[in-house]
Amino acid sequence: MSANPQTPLALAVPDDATLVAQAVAGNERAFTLLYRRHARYVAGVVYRLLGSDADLDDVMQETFCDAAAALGSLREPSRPRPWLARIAVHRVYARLARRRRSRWLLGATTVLAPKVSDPAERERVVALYEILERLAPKVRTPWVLHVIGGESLPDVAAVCEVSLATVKRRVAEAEQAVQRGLDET
Amino acid sequence: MKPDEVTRIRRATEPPWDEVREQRVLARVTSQRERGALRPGRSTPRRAAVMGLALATLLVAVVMFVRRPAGRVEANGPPDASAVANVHRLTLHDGSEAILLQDADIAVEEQTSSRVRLIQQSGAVRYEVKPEPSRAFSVRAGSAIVHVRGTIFTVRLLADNLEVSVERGRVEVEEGGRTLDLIAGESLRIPTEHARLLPSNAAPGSDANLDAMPTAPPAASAPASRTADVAAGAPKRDDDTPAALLRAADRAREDNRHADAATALETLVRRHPRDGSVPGALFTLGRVETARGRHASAAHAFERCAATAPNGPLADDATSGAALAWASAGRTETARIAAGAYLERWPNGIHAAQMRALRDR
Repeated sequence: MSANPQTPLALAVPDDATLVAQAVAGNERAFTLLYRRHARYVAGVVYRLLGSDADLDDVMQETFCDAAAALGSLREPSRPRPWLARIAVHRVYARLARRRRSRWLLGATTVLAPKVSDPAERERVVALYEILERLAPKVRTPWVLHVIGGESLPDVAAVCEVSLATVKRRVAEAEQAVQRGLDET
Repeated sequence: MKPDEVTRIRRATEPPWDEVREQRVLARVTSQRERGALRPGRSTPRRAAVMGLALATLLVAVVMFVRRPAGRVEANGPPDASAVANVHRLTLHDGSEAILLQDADIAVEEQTSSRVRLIQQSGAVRYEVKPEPSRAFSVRAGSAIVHVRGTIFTVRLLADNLEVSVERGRVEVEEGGRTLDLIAGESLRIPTEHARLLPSNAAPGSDANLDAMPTAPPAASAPASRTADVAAGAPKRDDDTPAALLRAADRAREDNRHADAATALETLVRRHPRDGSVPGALFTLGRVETARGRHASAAHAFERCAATAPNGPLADDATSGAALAWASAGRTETARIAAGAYLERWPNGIHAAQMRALRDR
């Protein structure tokens, strides 16, 4: 009888729940594997919300340090991704608030938008982020996570720590503002 | 928004995130967690005592390492007050030694906790430099400057040429705006008939030939500002901060401007040797040099990364990276030794299988 080729692979790649348990017990390698598995996803969330990579490293560092400190309190160890995103969103809120304060104090008008190599595409992306910049973070975030990030509405509700109905309302509100703004450009 | 537009924007807003950046942020996370782990459980009086002790230590260090006046030691002359020396041996404050051989004449230009600068005026001197990543150590001889981390090497400044031979470790020889890495067993000879005994504040000559034997390719695109980088008291600009230099390197990497990325990273390491971002910068430099096809330089960068933070999260990746880079550079034996060193330390590491294959090749 031949060995199942899937077995070694399954054994070699521990699931999230196992890694979380090991990391909580102090296994650094497990934490590193968790980080490697989810860092790109979290970076996507942060980058799309911030609209620039100027603070990306800092927010990622803060997010995973917070996560490491609170890993033991994770309720669903098999699903660390929404939890990580929630931590990241909190950190992004703080950055956006700081950015708003400095804009108000300094009168800066620069809008940070993701760097896009295609000039035509870039114009559209900059216009979009100009609109998003005018929205409150609590309205901007669900829309970015759902529409640009492709997250399901229940997941967005979990990340933003609000009800599904609230998320739907905020996404709709942001969608209206985005559409109106893009139509005007 | 229309679905096709959403798709386009989604594609356009993919994060500039790659393996190098992932590693670098991981290093920062690990470093911060290690620092944070020391905090809980410390009572206020204990913290005050620790801070008092640290302040006292700092005061002693400042007193000990306050800039010394320049001094000179000759092979047959009296020892200088700035260093403990006998007739043929100059011992520096960091424990490094200069052994004065034939017709040697050297002077201590600067000696602080972060920088040691010597000038070799003539003859042959064997240097045994203590490894210390946070301290820049350089020897100016004729028109060349030898930058050192920790190594044993000999400089012979003769009538018509300068010769640098490395016994252990690695040095970087800078001459006429170009640099060249030398590792153990390699030597370099530069004609110096036109540039002998330059004063310390004069610009090095620009037309000497780097007639090198090593396999490591010369860094022809080395920044012209390198000499300025090591000069004391260079003005600090906003774009010189570690974060700004890392961002510049990331932008350059995204645009495939590898030489610019390497320059930014080298500048960061040189100007901020104590910054926590240095191991990550060196690791990134290793990847950049690999992308440029400069495998020996990549190996050096990975080795420096592992040496700077031997217990850091990048240490295993950097050590294996060095072994692979040496293999790509055609230095099979060095690669085998590096792979063996990896396996000795991380027998079950994530790169163990690859290193085993390299070692047993």
